[in-house]
Amino acid sequence: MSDANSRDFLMAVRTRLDAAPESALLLSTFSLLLLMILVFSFTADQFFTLAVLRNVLTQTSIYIILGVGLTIVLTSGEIDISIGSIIGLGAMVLAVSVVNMGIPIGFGLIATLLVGVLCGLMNGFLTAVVRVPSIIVTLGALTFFRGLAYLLGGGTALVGFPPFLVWIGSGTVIGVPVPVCLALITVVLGQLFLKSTRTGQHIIAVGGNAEAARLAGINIRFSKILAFVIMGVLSAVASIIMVARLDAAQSVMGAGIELQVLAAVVLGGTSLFGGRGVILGSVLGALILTILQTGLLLSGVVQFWQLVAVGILLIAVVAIRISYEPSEVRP
Amino acid sequence: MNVAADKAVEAKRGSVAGVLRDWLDGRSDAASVTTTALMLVALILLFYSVNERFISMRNIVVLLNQSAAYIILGVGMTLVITIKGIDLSIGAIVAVCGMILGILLVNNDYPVWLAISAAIAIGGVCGAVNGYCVASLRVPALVTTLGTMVLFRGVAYVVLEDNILFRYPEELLWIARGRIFGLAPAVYIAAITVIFGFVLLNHTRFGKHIIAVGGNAEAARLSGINIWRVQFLVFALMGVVSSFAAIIWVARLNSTQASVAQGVEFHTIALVVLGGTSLFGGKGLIVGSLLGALILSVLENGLAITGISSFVQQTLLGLIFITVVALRTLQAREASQADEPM
Amino acid sequence: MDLRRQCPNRYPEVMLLSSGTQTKTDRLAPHAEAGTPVLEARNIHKNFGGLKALDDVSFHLNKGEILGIVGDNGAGKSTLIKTVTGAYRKTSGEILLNGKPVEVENTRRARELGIETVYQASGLVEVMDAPSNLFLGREMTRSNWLGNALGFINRRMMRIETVELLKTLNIEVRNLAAPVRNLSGGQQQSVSVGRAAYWQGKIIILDEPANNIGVDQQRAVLELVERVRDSQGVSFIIISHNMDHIFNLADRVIVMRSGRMVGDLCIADTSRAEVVGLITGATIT
Ligand SMILES: Nc1ncnc2c1ncn2[C@@H]1O[C@H](COP(=O)(O)OP(=O)(O)OP(=O)(O)O)[C@@H](O)[C@H]1O
Ligand SMILES: [Mg+2]
Repeated sequence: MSDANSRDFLMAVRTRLDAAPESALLLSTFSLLLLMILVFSFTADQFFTLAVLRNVLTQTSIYIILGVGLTIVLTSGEIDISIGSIIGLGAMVLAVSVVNMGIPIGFGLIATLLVGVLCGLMNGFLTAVVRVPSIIVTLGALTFFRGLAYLLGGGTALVGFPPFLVWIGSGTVIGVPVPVCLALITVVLGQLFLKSTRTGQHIIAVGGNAEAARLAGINIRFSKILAFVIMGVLSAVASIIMVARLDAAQSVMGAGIELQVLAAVVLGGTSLFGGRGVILGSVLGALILTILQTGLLLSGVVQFWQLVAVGILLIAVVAIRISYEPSEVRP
Repeated sequence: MNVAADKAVEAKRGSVAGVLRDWLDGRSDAASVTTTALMLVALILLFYSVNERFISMRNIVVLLNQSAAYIILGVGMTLVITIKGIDLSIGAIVAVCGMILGILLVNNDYPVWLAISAAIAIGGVCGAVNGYCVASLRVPALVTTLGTMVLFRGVAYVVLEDNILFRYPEELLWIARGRIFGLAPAVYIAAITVIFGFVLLNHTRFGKHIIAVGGNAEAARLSGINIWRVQFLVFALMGVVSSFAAIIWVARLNSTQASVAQGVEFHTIALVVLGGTSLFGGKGLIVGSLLGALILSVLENGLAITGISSFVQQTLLGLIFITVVALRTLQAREASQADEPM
Repeated sequence: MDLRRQCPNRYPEVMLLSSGTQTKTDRLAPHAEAGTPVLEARNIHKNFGGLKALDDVSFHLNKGEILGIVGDNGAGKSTLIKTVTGAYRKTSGEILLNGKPVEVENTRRARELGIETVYQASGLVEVMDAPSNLFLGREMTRSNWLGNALGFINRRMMRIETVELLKTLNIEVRNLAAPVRNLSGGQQQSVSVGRAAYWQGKIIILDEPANNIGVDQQRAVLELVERVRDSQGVSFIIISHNMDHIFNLADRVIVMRSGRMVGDLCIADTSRAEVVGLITGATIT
């Protein structure tokens, strides 16, 4: 190919990608993931063993499930930092109902999911109806839900779950770990919901331009509350998986996870300002974070350096992305 | 002359309520701070009625000493939030500054003034890193400081690992444990920071620029304000005041470890919001944040004095915070009448 | 006696100028039928805190009529149509549709009642593509049971319709899948006007439709307005600062000044000087 030709080709690609920002984001995130896997396959010998991969996937599944929820919330123009506490509360509800009160596991699971719905409703109501900024609402909820978790379960670990729950944590379906299956289902449903249903489109519109959405007759309150409720339910699902994997429940479960999930979602290209949600990107982002940590560990890097690496990676990726974005303002 | 406008003015003049509302409209900041102050007074009276010891000299001293670091962080965070930013990394900055103090004073025998200067310098550098990412790389503040939060904390862990450094020299401990007119020097540092922040925000050109950038960055840019400089300096300043907080913290605890001050960022954001500073930028209330810090301390201290379990305390704290903020928001909406149908 | 003004359509008047023989009553527009107005607002008040943005405004819109609204910046034109279409909650007043009082509590309701509005600030979601914007809030769903039950949208149909519409509007958009942010300001404005035209309400309200768009697109928009009015008997309200547009297009014009309505004139009976005088509040002799 001649030089001019290849330049034309590059220009064409660039135009295409400009027109489809989400594909461009996905492509860049995916390249990063590939690069990382490539590097670690050289530095860490055991990286490509089946056991490691399986472990990575299972670990990531919780982040993926939460990432789907947070992507939807961010798309609606809001944020939820209470998800770690919803997980703690959900775990306690599950443990207290199943272990302490001896309620059948099915009802226990339903109760946990219901608690997720209620938490989401509360966050959504305060954000969309009372119109307190969501970062403040969920900041308060972070303390409140965690307090409730402690009230319910005290500070000690609860153990003794029935076999079905243990199966959720460590069983497989045709060779695929159950948490991974749940994550897959969540991703497919989430993607379908956000991109292919009317309600999903409304959530994007509300996050993209709330006033335009309002004038177009879209129910902003419903869209936002729904986003928070989805987040709440998915947090409850995550709490079930966490409890199942540990076969134990504790009030502190999930503490600090919100920031990890936020990092994964932002790595995936979802906008913090609403209107752009890349669910598949969040999946890749979650994978990048776990692979980075596992890879460094297997390469013999001291654990604490991983934190440094994650911090630098996050800022670098977002900075590079922003430098490529069509910019209106350059101070 | 415009007849309609004349009539409107006349109608307003007629009623006392109208005059009052006009006055408050012009001074929404004062009204906001007054509400916060009333809240504080009400809380103090409430806890006093539960336990008379609550208003004792001893308890007041304890309360102020406890709040000093939060008040200082609150001043910095008020400025950050006024430019529509946010800083999640302050807890990690405190950890890094504490780490420096520990290395210089516990592992080595450097003079205290040098260690303090080094801590302040490191705090400034951390803040400058945030400022650079936000202002130059234009990474949103939430992402930047989420990243640096992990990064700085990581640095502290890499250096300190799981060690706890203690036995600091007396001169450093004096900052939290000494007494000047009955109060710890830390309280005076907090007071000076508040005054500095107040004057900076309300009575200097730079303060006007801060408000302009937070209110409407584009308009500020077009009118020739150097947005880059404002953002960079505000984040750098946040780093510097975080180092003050770190010094006070270390002096109070007489120990350092990498995990120190985890979660203070949320506490600080909460107190700034309680003080009435708008998260949408362009409105910062330093005095409000001072009161907000006191409210949180009074709440924690008061709930502890009532003797209820710490689990209930945490739940109540969250509930009270949400309620107060929700009521505030409703009140603000009432005032602005911005109640569009959905 | 009904004091409500009926104004002649502009085109018969042009013919009148050429023939010069007809009397005033003959000029009654074929479109502007006598009878109950399609839309009527009575004694509308709207306060923003202490500010009286609308002070006792009453107006009406006849069937098949193009009604212009003019006034200085901040006169209350946008507030008026936002209040009428449920984008703002009115402080007091009454709205009638075909003579029947209606409660327009939000913009959704207005659309159900057949009022399509292009608001002044573009009203598009910049991050979404043109088809999504065209169908914003009224997305087409797949016709199978899944589509109906879960609201799966039908992108293909929406795309086809958009292509058709943009063609009639003379707008060239190279990539329909690109976010409308990538379109020029004028193209965006054309898309929002096109949206109102596409949905074909019985009443179409345009707030400065020709704002920041090129001459060609302006003509396309104005022609579209006339075409839709003539073929479907739709009534229009058009807010504009451009006297040429008002005088070329409208049958009647109402003038707003500091929240009040200060004039309601037939285009045929007035002059630009008179309208401008009313806008600025200068007295004319
Ligand atoms: N949401 C609002 N809150 C408070 N005041 C408002 C609001 N919207 C409009 N106003 C005020 O109401 C008055 C009328 O505004 P409006 O937007 O209706 O003017 P307009 O006639 O459309 O002007 P323009 O020609 O510039 O579009 C102005 O004084 C404006 O400041
Ligand atoms: Mg207007």
